[in-house]
Amino acid sequence: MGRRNDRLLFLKRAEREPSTRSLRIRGSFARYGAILGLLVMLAVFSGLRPSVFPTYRNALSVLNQISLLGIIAGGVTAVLVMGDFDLSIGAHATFAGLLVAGLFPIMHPALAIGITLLCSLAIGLINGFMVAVLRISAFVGTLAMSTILTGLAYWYTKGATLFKGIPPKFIGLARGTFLSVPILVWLMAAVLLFLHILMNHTGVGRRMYAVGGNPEAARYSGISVPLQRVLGFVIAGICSSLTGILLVARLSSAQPRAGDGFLMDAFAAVFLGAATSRLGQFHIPGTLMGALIMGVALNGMTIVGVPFYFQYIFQGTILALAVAASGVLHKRAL
Amino acid sequence: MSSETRLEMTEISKRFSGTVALDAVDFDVRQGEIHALLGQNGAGKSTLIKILAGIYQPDLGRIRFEGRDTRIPSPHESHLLGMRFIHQELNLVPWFNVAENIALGEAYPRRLGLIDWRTLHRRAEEVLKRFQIDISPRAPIQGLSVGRQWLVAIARALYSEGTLLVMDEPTASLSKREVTDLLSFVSSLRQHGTSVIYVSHRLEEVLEVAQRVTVLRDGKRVTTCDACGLDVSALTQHMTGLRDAPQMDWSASAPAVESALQFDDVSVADRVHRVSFAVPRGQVVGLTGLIGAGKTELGSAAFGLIPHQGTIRVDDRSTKIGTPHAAIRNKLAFVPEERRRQGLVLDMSLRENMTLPYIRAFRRLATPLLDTRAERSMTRSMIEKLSIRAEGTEMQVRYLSGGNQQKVVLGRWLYRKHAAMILDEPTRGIDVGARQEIFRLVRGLARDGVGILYISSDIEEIMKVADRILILRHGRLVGDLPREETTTQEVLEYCYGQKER
Repeated sequence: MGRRNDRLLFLKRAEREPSTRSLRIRGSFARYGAILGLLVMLAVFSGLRPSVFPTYRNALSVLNQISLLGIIAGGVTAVLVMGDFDLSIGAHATFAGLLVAGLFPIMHPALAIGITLLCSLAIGLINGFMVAVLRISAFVGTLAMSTILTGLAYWYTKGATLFKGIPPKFIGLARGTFLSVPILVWLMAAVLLFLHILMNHTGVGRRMYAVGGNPEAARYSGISVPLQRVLGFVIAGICSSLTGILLVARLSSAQPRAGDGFLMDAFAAVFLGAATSRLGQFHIPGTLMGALIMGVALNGMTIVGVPFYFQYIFQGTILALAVAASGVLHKRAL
Repeated sequence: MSSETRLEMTEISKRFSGTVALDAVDFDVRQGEIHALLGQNGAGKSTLIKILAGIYQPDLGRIRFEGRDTRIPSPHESHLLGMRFIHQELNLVPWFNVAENIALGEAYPRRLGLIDWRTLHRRAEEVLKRFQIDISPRAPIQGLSVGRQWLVAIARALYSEGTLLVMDEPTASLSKREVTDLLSFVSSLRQHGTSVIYVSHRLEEVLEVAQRVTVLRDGKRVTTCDACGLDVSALTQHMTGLRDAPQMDWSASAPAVESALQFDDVSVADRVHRVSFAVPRGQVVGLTGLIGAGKTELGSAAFGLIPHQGTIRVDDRSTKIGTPHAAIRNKLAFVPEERRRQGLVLDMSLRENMTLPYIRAFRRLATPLLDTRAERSMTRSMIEKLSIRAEGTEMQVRYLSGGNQQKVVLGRWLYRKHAAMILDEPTRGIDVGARQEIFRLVRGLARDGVGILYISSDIEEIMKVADRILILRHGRLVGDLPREETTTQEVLEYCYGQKER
């Protein structure tokens, strides 16, 4: 410690920071690019299918489609804010779905959901412990967790789909509406609102952003950095679990790998969201925006009749573009 | 051994946003000469070296190398000219052997597209033999002592025909025996016509090895003279010079009664050894010493950043402080040395940085929600109190100047009254005006009864603010002097081990 200033910083750390002006220009491009993309998509799809796409019903349907994505992406946001990474969210959602579906036939539904959420809390704690305390790289640690969860899921189900004993009332959750808006949309709104308030209007959230911005300075300000990071993984875990559980309601069954696809979509949504912010920062409104863009694109492509394999190509491209756009602004290497 | 000039720098000037780092400095190195470059921290040594390395461009001045006018736009160009730099950290790959490390950075010899190991080892052996270094080219770096690693680093630097070698504090981490070996080796380089710029804080060493000495102070060259005939006290005189006595308000220095921060037999790993002293309420205690003497470690230990043995007490309470959080709760504040890395979240606003340590205090009554308005008014009052030049409370701290950033790091601790504060190099890299403001602020805090431990390697600065001056040398407390009864010269002599209590 302590000598850096007087050292000869040869070759490597020539003090170069990108000029703020070029950052700003590229920043505003990235920022408006995502929003512009959304507007263009809305215009194109409305033009192609004026009777189906731009309707209130279809808007609700898009929201309904992205509701689970929104919840899990909200969780990922909490981890990314602190400069961490969680690759286990997809497998985690799958695992939670299978667990809850397996527990439904043998106990009260509320108890089954409670136990599943508790398990997810533990998984989040383990992820956080690996990364923040044992200092395993987040990438490797959560990839390992993802693989373990997939293994557990297959062991538990022997590869079969679970559909017995799922309470009809629970399945109704995915079909029902409240004030003519789907219940799942309400749930997403509640989760995202909660996370937004937590992250932007409480001390916990301020500490999270401080840890993400400069963990060293956070530590010198009396913040327990490991504790904050563990909290991020716990939030991601709980959100993954909620998504997995609600997916069971939507599909009336639980299948191995059912939740795996959320990994890609969630990251794409969160990075798209970061690209819409001024500083390339991850934040909940941005994440919702990102999820919306993903939802509109997929919904529109389905309505227009784009083949499903093209949708994969689109998702991959969007993820890469979104990371690039937000990475322009974000100094952290992810 | 000709006395032809290898490097000639004429009237080199360099400013950094308002501060003058180098002011028309002349510097030259002859062929086969070992030229020591001396000066206190901030004197401009590093800037001069970085200009040679091609990292900085001088604003004014000429550089001639081997008799030709030269520009050094990049590190690559500097390397092509034949300048070699050995960093304190050596940058050797520990799990490679000596030969692989020596050839690292140059093109490895190849045969049929594959690395030609035999040639590689042979060449390395030649280099080692030429400089009479008795190390096997196949020995792994990991197994060598630090002193021998230095020899390898030098061999690597000279492997590819370097003619000017720049060494930064080569003996900082060496044992006595290794120092002797290294010095005799460096002396032997002269026979090969290699020129050496030798940067060190160890003056005896410098006098032993160098032919000429250049002393910088405040970005100006004080003198360049032959090393023989000089002694350590003459050098320290050159390094400190004589400056005007400071105008400071000493009136309210409280008599030392209650201790705000007390160290009893404190040791930190192998950096600090059994140090005991107390910082009384209402006093500024300066802590100085050379780089690596253990100053920062002592401060960090008190703030719970690194583990320590012994007891550190804040305000006579004997609670054990193991984390910064506990330290803050015990009313101890800490202003770290590197404000951008350790003090600030650059992407956050002035307001968010100000309130970070006590964000819990800014909650709305009985809710977990933050009261941004209260945060703003606190920040506004700090901006006013410290005259921070900023565009409002929501400005990102990234865009503040160094001095104003430092005021933010300091100012955040003024919101609550602390029993004790530790300031680690609080004026580093900021201009004279801001420096004066910080001195006044520190004296003001002491007047209000805060005990302040002021860490700085700039002795004159310490002489300006501290009531008492403690000197650390190799992790031990070697001096404790009241300000009125000492001089910069004397403190420096303690730092360099000329005197000991």
